[in-house]
This record gives sequence, C-alpha cells and structure tokens, in this order.
Amino acid sequence: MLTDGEIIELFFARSESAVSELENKYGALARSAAFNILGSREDAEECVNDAYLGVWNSIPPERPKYLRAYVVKITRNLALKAYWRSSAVKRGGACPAVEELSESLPSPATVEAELDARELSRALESFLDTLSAENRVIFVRRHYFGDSCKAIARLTGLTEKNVSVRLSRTRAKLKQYLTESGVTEWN
Amino acid sequence: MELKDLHEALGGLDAKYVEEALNYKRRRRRLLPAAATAAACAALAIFAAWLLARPGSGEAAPSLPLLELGDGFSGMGYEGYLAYDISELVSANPWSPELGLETLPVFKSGVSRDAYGRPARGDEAKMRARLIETARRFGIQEDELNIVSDGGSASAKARGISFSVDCQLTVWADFETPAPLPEGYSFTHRSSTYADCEAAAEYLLAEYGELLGMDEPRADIYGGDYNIYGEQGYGIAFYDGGEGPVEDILGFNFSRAVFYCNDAGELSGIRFYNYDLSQKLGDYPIIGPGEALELLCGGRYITSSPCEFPGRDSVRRAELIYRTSGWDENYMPYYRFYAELPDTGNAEAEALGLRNYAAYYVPAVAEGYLDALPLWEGGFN
Repeated sequence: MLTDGEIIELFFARSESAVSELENKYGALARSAAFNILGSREDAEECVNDAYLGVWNSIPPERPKYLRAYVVKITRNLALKAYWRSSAVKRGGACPAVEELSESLPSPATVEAELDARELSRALESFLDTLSAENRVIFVRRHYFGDSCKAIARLTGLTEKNVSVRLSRTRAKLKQYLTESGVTEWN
Repeated sequence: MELKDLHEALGGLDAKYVEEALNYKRRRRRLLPAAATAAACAALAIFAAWLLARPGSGEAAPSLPLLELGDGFSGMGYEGYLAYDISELVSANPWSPELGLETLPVFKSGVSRDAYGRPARGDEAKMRARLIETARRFGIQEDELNIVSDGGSASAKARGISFSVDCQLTVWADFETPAPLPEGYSFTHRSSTYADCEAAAEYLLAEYGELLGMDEPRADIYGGDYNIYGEQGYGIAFYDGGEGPVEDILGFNFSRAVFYCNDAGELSGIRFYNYDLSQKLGDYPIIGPGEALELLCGGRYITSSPCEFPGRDSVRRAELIYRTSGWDENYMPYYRFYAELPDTGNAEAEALGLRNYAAYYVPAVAEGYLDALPLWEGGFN
C-alpha cells in the first residue's frame, strides 16, 4: 500500500491510478463516515465518489499534511449537504449522531460577539482542548464521524451506557461554553 | 445559530483532532513482564516460517457490510491450557498458513440478543426442524416426540434419549442408558491416550456414523491438555470434510459432532453442532498470521485471559478458527494465538512443571471491513 506522500504525488502527476490508490487505502473509512450520516449504502457510495472528485480537483494545489483526515473531511461535508437536502430527514429519518448536537446550541442571549464559521471552528477547538483526550475522542467519533455509541464503547473499553452519558454531559458543557462565550450569531 | 452551522464549524476542525480520534488507543496496565526463554526463541524460529506465508489481501470487494465484532466471552473462567509443551495440544484443524487463503466467508449468526447481549431467542421453526431431523437419524419419528419450546431452546424425549436444541441449532442427545464400548477400547475423561482415542474414534464412527448426518466425516482427536493433577485428556469429535480448503475449514468449525463419555468410559451422549450459515454476508479479505501477530503485539486483541498479552516472545502457536459463541453477532474468522504465560497460577501445576498457554484472538478479516479493531482493556473482554 502506498504512503500518503506517494498518493499525493500521484494526484500532482494527474495519474489515473491516484483515485484507485486513495480508494484502496481510505475507501472503507470514507464509506463508513458517509454511511453513518446518510444511512444508505448507495448514497454513501455516491458521496464517496463525489469526494474523490473533490480531492482530484483540490490536489493540487493543496498538499494536505494528513491525507486521511482530508478525505474524511471532504466526505463528511458532502454527506452532510446531502443529509440536509434529504427528504428522508424531513420525513423523520434523522441521523441521531447529527441531530443530538442540537443540545449544544447556545441559549439566546444579548449579542456580545459575532463569529464567522471559521471563528466558530476555533471556538470549538478551544472547547475540545478543555476535555480529556478520551472524552474528546468520544465526542469527535460521535459527532464528526457519526459512530454509534456501541462502536465507541468498543474502541474505548467503556460500556455503551457510559459513552452515552459522557456524550450527553459534553454536549451540555459545549452549550454552556458557547453561551458564556457570547456566541449567538455570526456572519 | 442552527444545527447546520454547528456541524459546518465542526467540519472545519483542525485535522489533528480528526487524526487523534482515528489513532486513539486506550491506555492499558502492564501486568506481566515479557518472558523470553530459549524454548521461546526456538519456537519463534519455527513460527518465522509462517510469517513468510502471508496471503495477499486481494482486491477490496465492493459493498461488503462493515462487521461488528463480538463482545467477548460467555461463562466464567478463562481459556487457558496446561501442558508440558505446546506440541501436546492437538486438533485436526485443517487450516495452515501454506493454504495462502485471501478471503474467507463471514455469516450473520441470526441469533437475537437480550439487553445484555446474551443470546436470547432463536428461530423456533429451525430449532424444531433441527431437533426432528437429528432424532430421525436415531430412527425416531416426529410423532414420537413431544417437543417443548420456550423460544430460547426446545427439547423432547423418546426411546431413552433426551434431545435438546438451542438457539444456535446445537443439538444434545443424552442417553438415559449409556452405551459401553467393547472390551479393549478406552474412552475416558483423563485416562485414555491419543492412540486409545484414535481407536475409540474408529469404533464410534463404525457404530454411530449414520447418526452424524455427514457426507465425509473426519476424526478430530482434540485437546491433550492437563488438569492441575497432571492428568491428560482428549476429546473425540468428527467434522464434515469438504471438497476444498475453505469447505474443510467451514466443516471443521461449523459442522461437528462431539462424543461424550461418563466416568465409567461409556458413551453418554453426542452433541451435534450445525450452525445456521444461511445468512452469508460475503467473502471477506483476510490478513495473514504475520500481520495478525503485529496487531496482537499492538494490543488489538480480545481474550478471556486476565493477563495482558505477555509479548511477542511468548507466542507458541497461531491457528485460524471461527468464533461461534452465541455472543458473537457474526461468525467470522480469527487467529487464535497461544501465548505462554509466566506461571500457571496454581501451586500443584507449578510443582508438576506444567506450562500455561492462554488464548488471544485477533480478527482475521482485514481492518477496513471491521467496525473497529478490538482493544484489550485490562480485564476480561
């Protein structure tokens, strides 16, 4: 299996094998991330194919330091776009890992700060830095990757119930963090 | 702010958070020092030959469902074997690394579970049919059986034989009147040698072969481990051999009959294992034993041993088997590594000079097809 650097070089060389090598190395992970959000193998497959096109169009000039995270990020973003558009969601076929994060939406308050999406990401990072590594991983695996509590329990050695409780508490802390930070609106 | 916005911001996280989540390994306690002995070095030299026989992972098959791993073991106690040397532990497992297998089938177990993950209910119609089919091989017709079922098992009694079947379709046939073997045959718990068991197996096949329901019954004299009093024992089983190596492996793991004796050396019953393989998930790429050993050394294993894996030098054997516990969501292949622990934990066994081999399991299915690799958590998994 090629290294990330070798695969990136294939993209730079516009080689036909670049995407197949990417699929070989990270296809299963990307499909898993898409499936966790979309709940459909066919939709996940389509999403991953679109992600590969996205990678092809962005490398070059991009030269991601972490190719794996880069592929997953593009896949996740596309999956979420499809998710919000989905009529299944509108009919109530929601993805719990996506919907649960609504618990962290800050309470309405006097506007003290306006943030753009990038600044909100930095605020989230500051929040994540306050967590233990274990709780941070649990949160990211659930709400970024859409992993089930069962899968997270297996990864961490905790019980499923424990994972669920920790997530609930972390979401509540995030809400408090965002509220106290004065984050209510952004551009 | 809307939920969409929060997720968009989450999507903008620095890659280091994503990588951390993907690379996460739970910290574990180190209980035992690694053992390194001259015997270990010799065994590893032999084992090194296996590392060269790593099969390729093959092309990634499209659209295979991700597999969830079993939660571990049912029952109490741990899977440890006492012997003077690993070579004493025997079985007729048809797998070997020289086969160079690149894929193996995985099946859904089809057993429903309760809130604690314990096997709860099976397919009642299949359980009933399996019981009837087994009884018929004993010459007992359906109308002689008054089958009682509670969803998790079914049972019936006729002509001095008690039948019961569980949700994994395993049938026990217990004889009210045990059947003695002719003089000269030795079929006991702990007093029969391997040669005794070979001879007894030959007799049992000739006498009871029709009951097995197998096209090609092959003997499996298994065990060879000792109890703490230094008494060695073997079991006698048959499995349904297949036409090729994969069919052979499936027969060994899923289509077996085990003969049981009582203290008097009489045949007391037969257990028929015939797992439901009707829900095949696919043929999954598998890793070789060398790659599995690396995963083992990296803590990616499950075990019923209370001890952390003692290290590379402790490995004495690896074999490929299917885990068929009722706790497993799927029937999938694993490498079972036998690691020699530093002690037996029992004074009598220590005094006899017995060694303790504990079993550690690593999924044989390639990582990309697994929900998550196992991770030893510091106790029974």
